Formats: sequence, C-alpha cells, structure tokens
Amino acid sequence: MAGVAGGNDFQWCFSQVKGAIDEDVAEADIISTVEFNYSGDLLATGDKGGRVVIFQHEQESKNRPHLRGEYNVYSTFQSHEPEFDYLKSLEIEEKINKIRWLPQQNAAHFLLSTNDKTIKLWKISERDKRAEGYNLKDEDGRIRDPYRITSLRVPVLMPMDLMVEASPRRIFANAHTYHINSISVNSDHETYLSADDLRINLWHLEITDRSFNIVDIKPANMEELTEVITAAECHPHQCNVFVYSSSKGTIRLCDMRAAALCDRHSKFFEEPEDPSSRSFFSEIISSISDVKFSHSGRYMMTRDYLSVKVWDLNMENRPVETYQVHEYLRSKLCSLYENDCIFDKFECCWNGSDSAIMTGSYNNFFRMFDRNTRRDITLEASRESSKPRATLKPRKVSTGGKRKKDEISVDSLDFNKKILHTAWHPKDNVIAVAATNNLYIFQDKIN
Amino acid sequence: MILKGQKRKLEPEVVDVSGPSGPLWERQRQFVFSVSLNKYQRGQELPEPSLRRSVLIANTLRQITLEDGGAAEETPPPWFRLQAKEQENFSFSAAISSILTALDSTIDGGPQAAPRPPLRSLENLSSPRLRQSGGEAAKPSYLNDVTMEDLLQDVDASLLERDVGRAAHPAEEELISAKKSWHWLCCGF
Repeated sequence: MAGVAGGNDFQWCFSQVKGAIDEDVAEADIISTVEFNYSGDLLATGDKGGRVVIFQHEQESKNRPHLRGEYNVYSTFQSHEPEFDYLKSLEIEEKINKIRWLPQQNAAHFLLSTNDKTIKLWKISERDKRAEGYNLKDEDGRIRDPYRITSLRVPVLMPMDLMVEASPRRIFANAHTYHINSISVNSDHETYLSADDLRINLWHLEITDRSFNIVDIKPANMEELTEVITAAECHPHQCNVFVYSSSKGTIRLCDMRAAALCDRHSKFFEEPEDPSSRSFFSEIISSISDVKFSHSGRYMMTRDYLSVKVWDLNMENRPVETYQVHEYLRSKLCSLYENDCIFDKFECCWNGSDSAIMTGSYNNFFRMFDRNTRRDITLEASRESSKPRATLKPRKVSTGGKRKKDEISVDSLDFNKKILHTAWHPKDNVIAVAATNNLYIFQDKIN
Repeated sequence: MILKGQKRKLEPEVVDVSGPSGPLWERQRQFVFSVSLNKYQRGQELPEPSLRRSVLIANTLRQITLEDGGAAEETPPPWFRLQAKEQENFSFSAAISSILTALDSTIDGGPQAAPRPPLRSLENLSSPRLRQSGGEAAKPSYLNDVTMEDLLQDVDASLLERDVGRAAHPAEEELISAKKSWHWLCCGF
C-alpha cells in the first residue's frame, strides 16, 4: 500500500460528504461512531439519536475507471431508543457508542451496536424476490375462503425492487452498571467482550441472558477509586487475549486461559513519566481514549490527549513509536481543562497494511503518520475543500511568533470542530472521517 | 446544542518554570483547584455524571493537595500556620471525600451495606475467592456472600410481588429482564 504523505504519486482527495450543510447542527445528528466492515464494502455510522446508517460501496463506473466507486446509503434504522432506568430514575441515552461488524458468513450482514447500557445484534439482509401465488391467501394478503380453493399451485419467486431490512436478532442487556465504552468481536467469531468504566464482560453471541465477568476493577470502597477502564479490544488472532486501557495511561494485556477472572494481567504496559513535562494535568492527558491492535496482531496503538503511541506487545516498559498529534496544545492545557476539551476522547485507526495510522484533532483537522517514512500530514475535513476529486491541501498550525501564509495560529483553532471518529478501509486507501454531523470520505488519487 | 463555530481564543498561559515554590505556580494551583471544584459541582447537577471525568477531576484535586509546596516557605506565627494548613487540608480532603461518596451514591444505587462480589463466571464457583468476606464453608462461595436481601435491597418489592407468577407484561418487561439477571446470578451462572 502506498505511503501516507508526500511523494509525487500519492495524494488524498475528496470523494464524498454525507450529512446536512446547515450551520445549526441538531444534537441527534452528531456522528458518534464510524466503522468499515471486514471487506470495506459497507461503512456504518452511528449517531447521538440512536440511528445507524450503513453505506454500501458501489462498483466503479465503466465510464470513469480511474475513480473508485462511491458509497451510497444502503440501510438506515433506529438501533437504540432513549430508555428510562426506573431503579435509579435516570434516563439512558440512545447515543450509539460503538458499532462492530461481524465477519460475513452468509448473504446477510451482522453488526453489534451499543449505547451506554445495551448491546444489540442486528441482521441486515436483502430481499429482492417475493413469493407469488399463495394458496391460502390472496395477493393482497387477505385470507382466502377455504371453500373457494379448488386447486393447488406452487408459489413462484418473482423479482421485486431491492429491499434492505434490518432486524434485531439479539439484545444483550442488564449486564453493565456503568457506561459501556467498548465492544470487540473475538477472533473465534462466537464471543465478544463489552467494557464499561469498571468491568469487562464476555458474551456468547447466541446467549443473551448471561455473560461472564472477566475483569472487575471496582474497589470495595468507592472512595478508593482512582482509575477507570477507558477502552478494550480482543486480539485479532488469539481468541484468548485481550487488552484494556485505563484513565491513568496504562494498558493491561490479559490471557483468558490463565484464569477465569482476568483481574491479574499478563502484561502491563506503561511509559515512565517525563518529569520535565509534569503538570497538574499530567494524569488527565495521559488517560487513554482508544486502543487498537494492528491487523498483524503484533502491535497495538493507544491514543492519549496529545499523542498516539505504538507498542510492541513484547515490550512493556515503553512504546516503540510516539507521534505527537497536536503538541502545540501542551501550553494551553489550563484553558482546555477549563472548557472541558481536555476530556475529549479521540479515536485512532490503522490502515490495512499497518504502515500508517490516523487520528483526529481540532478545527476539523485530522492527522496521518507513515510509520515507515516517519512523515506526517495534517488534513482538514471542510466544505470549502469539498469539490469533486479535489486534492486535499496539507494544513499547518503555526506555533511560533510569525505565522506563514496558509498557516493557522493556535489561538484561531475552532475547538468545537473536533474529529473524534475516523475509519480506514481494510484494504484500500479510502478513509471515512466524522466531523460533527458530516461524514467525509476521502480516497487516494489513482494516477 | 452545539455552539455556532465560535472560535474561542485561548488565553496565553504563563507557565511558571520556577517550580512548586513560585508564586505563579501557587496562583495556578489555586486556579486549578477552584476550577476543579466548580466542575465537580456542575457535574453533580447532571443526572448522571461521567465516572471517568469525575475520577480524573478527583485525582487532580488530590494531586493539588499533595503538591502543597508553597505553604512551607511562609513564616507566619506557628499556631496560625498550623491552623491555616489544617483548614486548607481539611477542605481538600473533605472535597475529595464528598466527590467519591457522591459517585458511589449516584452511580451504584446507594451506599451498599454489604460489598457485592462481582458477577462471576461459572468456573469460579467452586474455588475459594480471595476477595470473599468470609466464604470458607464447603458450600459454593456465592451462597455465602450473597443473600437474596442483598440483591433486592434497592428494588421496589411491591413491583416484584405483583410480578411473581404472572406472564411477562410488555410494560414490565424491563423489570422482568432485570429479575432474570438476578435469577441466573443466584442459580450460579
């Protein structure tokens, strides 16, 4: 796969943008998760209103073979509704926190979607044929009078307009006291884990009325609570291994073969703190907001407030690579604490070959790092640069006194425009970037 | 609602490099402390505060208490300094303690009389649990630790009495499914 930044033969260009153009953004339309399926043919988004929209990749047009096909709406459905917890008198938000696809095993597609409390398994299937010629009912569905039936016929399948149906097949509820932050499908394709602030549960996809608790960090005395679970993921190949990250910047790798309860980790990843950069906010900015295994399973990547780190699973005492996302914010941490931006949870993702990583920032900027060439690039998801096939211009934030042309100063960044969710196609150079209520799709320009 | 793309200018922050004993550092420390208390109070007004956010704010407050480098340098009369320091320390620890106690009552359904053991897997039922509060009998450990009263102490019993023996009613589905989860806990799944 081609590199990320620079070079004469590789450039990112605009492909599509989905969503309303209005300046007034409805809260329910804010995209809260983005995920490609295993083949990259389907792209799912979840929003704060509890809806899931699935886009499907259309085949390339014969007239324009130099372009990849487009993603068009395939299915839209209401996954979660607002609920009320009667025991605690609290409303449960319908916001979709995560979507995870299951590997495709037949013609239908399956995905898991979760809000704060409940996980649902959805089946998305196509129907393009309809049976006609029933014996017991008319074409419009009315039951026929049995005395009128004098002959028997075999119903035939007739083509009909394609209909995509989404139906909930399983509902996994009542297993999380705290807010679910992660779900991850295991490589055995039979189980998956769900993690909230203090506990991680293991489910079987067929069984909804019970789950196994495999991690519990809730202290007996809540006054001793100083750390929460922030993300968890199953290893892509070893079905007994998973990792979870914490608000203190640590990652624990657990082996489910070692014990049924994985409170004791097998490996503990933590980078020693740099004493010269210590501040009141050191712990908050070390809180890990996302953890993702590489496709190879040999590395994992973590995102904290200012950086992305790549860890070798065989080395626990420090990451093998560290990439600064927006180091210019380090001197602004006090203000970012005051306006709550310091609590924003950015996600990160790998490309298909694990040679590049991507994460979001503010001002609708997102950053990509090429692990081989060590080059990085900052791009912007904006309507202004959304002309068809327009090449994206690299952006730069000026940190010094003198601001060059086309650079933007730190003080001019819009902290309300944050890119928290991004996804990279598993095989091709196609990326999906969620900017508040808009979904941008960018692809490389094939020369 | 989202703010209409207002670009907030960040105030230039003066970072005090002289270390914990500098006056600038002390001022920033006080500022962060007051901001943290404000955040905690605002968070408490929310129907359900974010646990991660609350813990991070509480830890920041705790850290501010520990990094009390400025007070030692002053030379007021000893009795005055001691009083002031005690008062200061008292307010910090009280704030932290109240945050964490409030977390407990908001999130987990009230301060619990008996610590509940975690939901366990099937395999662990026969082996003695290190975290048990006295489960040494030959019975499976879950029976020693968890009584029906513990499980149901924060449940409205009148609703349960109505439901026992009845087929599931759509309006009470939620309670029925919650009851099911307690049922399998008791039955040792």
